Amino acid sequence: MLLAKETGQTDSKQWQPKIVAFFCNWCTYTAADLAGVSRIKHAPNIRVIRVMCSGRVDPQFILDAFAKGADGVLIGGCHPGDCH
Amino acid sequence: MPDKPKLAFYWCAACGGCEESVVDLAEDILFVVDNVDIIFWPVGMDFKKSDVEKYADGEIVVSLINGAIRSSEQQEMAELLRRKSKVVIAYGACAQYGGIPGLANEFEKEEILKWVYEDSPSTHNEDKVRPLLKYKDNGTEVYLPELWNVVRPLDRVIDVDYYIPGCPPSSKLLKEAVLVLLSGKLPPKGTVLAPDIALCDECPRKDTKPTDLAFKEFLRPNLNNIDPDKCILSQGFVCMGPATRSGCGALCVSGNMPCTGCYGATSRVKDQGAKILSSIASNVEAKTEKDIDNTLKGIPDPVGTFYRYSLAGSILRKKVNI
Repeated sequence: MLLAKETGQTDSKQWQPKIVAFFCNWCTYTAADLAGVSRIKHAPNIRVIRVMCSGRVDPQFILDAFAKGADGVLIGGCHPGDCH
Repeated sequence: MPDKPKLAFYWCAACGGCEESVVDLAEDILFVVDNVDIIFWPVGMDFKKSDVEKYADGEIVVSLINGAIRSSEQQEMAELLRRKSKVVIAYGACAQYGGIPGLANEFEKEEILKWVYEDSPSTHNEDKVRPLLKYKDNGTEVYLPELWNVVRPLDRVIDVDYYIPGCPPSSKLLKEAVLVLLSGKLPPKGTVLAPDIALCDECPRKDTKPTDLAFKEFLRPNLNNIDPDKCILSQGFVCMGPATRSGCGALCVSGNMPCTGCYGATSRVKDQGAKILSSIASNVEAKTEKDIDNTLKGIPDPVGTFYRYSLAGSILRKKVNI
């Protein structure tokens, strides 16, 4: 998300990265949901895909995302030892 | 005998092992020649390109093409055979996935030529002579095929109907494929003519595979002894069996060597290398980054290990920017 912010919401003509995000249902997805409910704005570059655990993310998903045109892949999971 | 179906064999970027597997049919080859007419087979019979050109489009019933495509000549021949054939079969790992030649996609063309013609220890080439694409002498112009920048599997160049996997494919698979084609009951286009299940299923050491694997270190077959009775992966050697299609009869494992993955992935897997990487990485016992790095030192060449046969046909395909 930092990347999206840096590359500028200021000028819409600037290149905008497309980021595919795999969010764990129990931490990152919940946090993103809470951010939405709290009406916190964030960059629209992220396409969120909810997974039931970041352990479900197969390296093939990441390669596939890049092959289909994603500029970045973000995986959001729990801290080590904090798995749901 | 005009009635027999016409069959063509051709080789592109390959080692010749696929041709060997045809010869390995032994007495079964008599059955093949009884039922089909081999009209083109550069390695075994004296036919020329012009003989193939004389056939009408689609007149050849089956062309079995082995080898990856990495030069203009291979592309031209593949396109010619496609035009003249009803069915084209990608025969062997190189035609299906790029195979060992596909590993050249880790290097730029210039790097490869420089190594081969100038830098390799066995080369003495003080004038740095390189092959020219065209050369004129006494009014005669001779030319050589051009090397492409990347190695491609056959189906990235022409339309392919079926695949027979393996490095080389077992003669059994070839015989079964010929029988299927002769029976006229053609499977759906794109079918891989081999069992669609992982190698572990037919592995003689299947029963010794533990349910839980935890790798403390990775061993290499050239440096360590392999216990001939235990699951090879569980001993810490990278065995590609779990991510590889069966059909070979677990030949390597029976010879006490780990599977290297030449039959490619099953139909459910898009990228064989990523799949085995994922499986192996999840089973590394170490938890801290430093320990993980240490464990992974046992795999000095991950691309050559996990993508040994499938790099050119994988999602990765090649090094960036070549």
